[in-house]
Amino acid sequence: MNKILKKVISVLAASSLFAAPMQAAITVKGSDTMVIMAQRWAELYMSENTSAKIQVTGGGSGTGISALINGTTDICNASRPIKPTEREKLKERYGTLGVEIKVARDGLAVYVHESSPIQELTLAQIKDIYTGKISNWKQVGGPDEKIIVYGRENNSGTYVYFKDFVLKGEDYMAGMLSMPGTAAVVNAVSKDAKAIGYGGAAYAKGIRLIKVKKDEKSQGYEPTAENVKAGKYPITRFLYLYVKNRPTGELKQFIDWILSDKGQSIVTKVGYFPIR
Amino acid sequence: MKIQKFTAGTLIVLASAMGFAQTAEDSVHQNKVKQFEEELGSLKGQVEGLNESYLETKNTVDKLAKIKVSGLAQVQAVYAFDTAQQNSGNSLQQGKFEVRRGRLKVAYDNGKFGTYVMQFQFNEGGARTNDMYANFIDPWINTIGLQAGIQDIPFGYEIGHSSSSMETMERSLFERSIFKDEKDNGFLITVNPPKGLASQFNLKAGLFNHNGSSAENDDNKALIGRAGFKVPLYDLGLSIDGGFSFLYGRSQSRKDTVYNMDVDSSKVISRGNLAKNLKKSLIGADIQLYYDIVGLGGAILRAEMGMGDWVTNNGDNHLYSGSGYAYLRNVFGYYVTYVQNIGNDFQTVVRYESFDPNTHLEGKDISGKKFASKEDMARTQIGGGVNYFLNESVRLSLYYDHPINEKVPALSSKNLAKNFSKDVDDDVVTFRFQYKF
Repeated sequence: MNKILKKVISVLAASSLFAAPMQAAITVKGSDTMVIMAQRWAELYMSENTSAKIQVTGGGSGTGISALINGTTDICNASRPIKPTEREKLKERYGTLGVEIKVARDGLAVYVHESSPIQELTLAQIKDIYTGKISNWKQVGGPDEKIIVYGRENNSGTYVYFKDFVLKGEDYMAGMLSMPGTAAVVNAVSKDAKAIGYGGAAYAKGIRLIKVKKDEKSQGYEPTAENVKAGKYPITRFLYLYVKNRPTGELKQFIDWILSDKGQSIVTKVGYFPIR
Repeated sequence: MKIQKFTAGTLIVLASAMGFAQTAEDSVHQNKVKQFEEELGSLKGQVEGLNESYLETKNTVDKLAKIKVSGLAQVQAVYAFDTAQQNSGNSLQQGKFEVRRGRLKVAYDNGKFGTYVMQFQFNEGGARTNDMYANFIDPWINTIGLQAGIQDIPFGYEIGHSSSSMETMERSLFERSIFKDEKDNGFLITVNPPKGLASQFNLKAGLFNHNGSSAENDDNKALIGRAGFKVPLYDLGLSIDGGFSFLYGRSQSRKDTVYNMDVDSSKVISRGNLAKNLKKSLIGADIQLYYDIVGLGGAILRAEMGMGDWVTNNGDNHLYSGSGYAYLRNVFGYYVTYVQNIGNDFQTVVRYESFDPNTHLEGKDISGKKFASKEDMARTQIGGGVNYFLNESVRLSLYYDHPINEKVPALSSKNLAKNFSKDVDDDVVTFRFQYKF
């Protein structure tokens, strides 16, 4: 019996020798909404910490969380909260629940072409447009023209958040044109007078952001800094970082820096809203 | 005067020439504009064509994306000390290479319209159906599901989790012995609230043939289920999960004689049991603690137990039932496993487990005859090992198992591999290569 215990202990001890975590670079993967902000963070942090190496890629929140689970990224950027099923996978593989860090707030904007006469919509109208119950601009006070609906692909956190929050979990209409990034949605809407799209306010250049009303009786608000901070704009969300374990070392330093005044100033510069 | 006329004439000619040139230039411009418009129209047509083609392709890709193919191969080298008799079933083998599991799973996930899953398992012995079920979750509150077909037995924690994610080489002695194939054929109702406090609770219960993944062989069914909970404490990096399981069913005796495995071996036989339905019932409990140790990695402490009255009938589980007779036993088993992740790539595991297939018989009571043989010995097992995750697909494992059998004086033998009057030297070391996709 003692021999067996010694064998087991020696195997465990040997494994520990291999396990010193030495990481050449911090990898960051996930939300396309956050990719520009994350790149700016990485650039500024590396300029201040010359020994640090940070690699940032997009791909969508779902892709980032999958990468976190399969061990191919250190940090996941996500524009939606992690799902219970994804947490279960982290628990199964790493024995951890994952750590959620809120790093910014975002007002999810709804865009129309700049020539569109539509100035504001209620949440219910937006939901009906995206679920296909409203298909003509005439039904919401616009011209008698078919609405061309643009959205994101289903690996996107923006897609999931919009579906959960605005569509109340209902499915998107079958004819929605799915675009690979918010910039692609903006580009498409800017070239189509009959189009509607959604995405981060940070990308909203060259098109018009409509005012969104909680309901018919409410006042409409644009996703400006003041309205998002004051909680007046109805479609706001947090932007997150996820890591597998409670961070230590270089990873912790980088995350602490993101939450510092310097890191949060980048949030403002790219058009989002700081967490504090 | 002549000069004036000449000048005027020249100017007229020049003006006419310039006008002609202008007209010609305009004409060229108009032609170019026309040409550009034609080219633009052609390009627009091409873009629209490409867009239509993209939408058609996307439609096809979206449909194909609903089909998910996954699989795994577990190939291992096993070395058994002295003899592998208890583990391999072949007393002459000490070392071998084997395909422990080869699996191919195809799932068609049609979102709110349900999921269909089929999985086949392969090894040197051939292939068998591992899963073949369809499930559907209610579209209204997204909480209640129905799953029908060959599926995991909903008892305890281990069975419901893929062997590819297990930290140990095998499931516990209790579950391997009691649940044939770890699969059953039937209808299962699941309750999984997606949001709020209710999402911390879940329930699954169903009616099954209780004959593994084989076809039904009697009219008796088993009611099996588990009520689970999760208490996530995110700020502490801690989660406490667990559940309570039950199984209630019956098994029909095919013969007049039933072996009632009691202490007094002179009364083990009861007669007049032909076609009689014999009760079997189990209860179980399981708990899992997950804790993130800062600077080291996630730790998992997992424990599970099961106990109750059990019938072994015509080979419907892995306990002895010789010649098709029904054997009645009271069983008890448990395990405690500790897993420590070290960084991202290493994982160490230690397990202690025990299984007594007949709590009414101690070693001294086992006679070695057919109604009380080595299959009634209690076993404990200590095991430990290391898993190395080379990448998202490849895992290498080294694992050591030390089984300890109950001492049975009646099962004394000169053959050390069969001398159960003492602990048989049947330790096993396994090196496993796992590839999954």
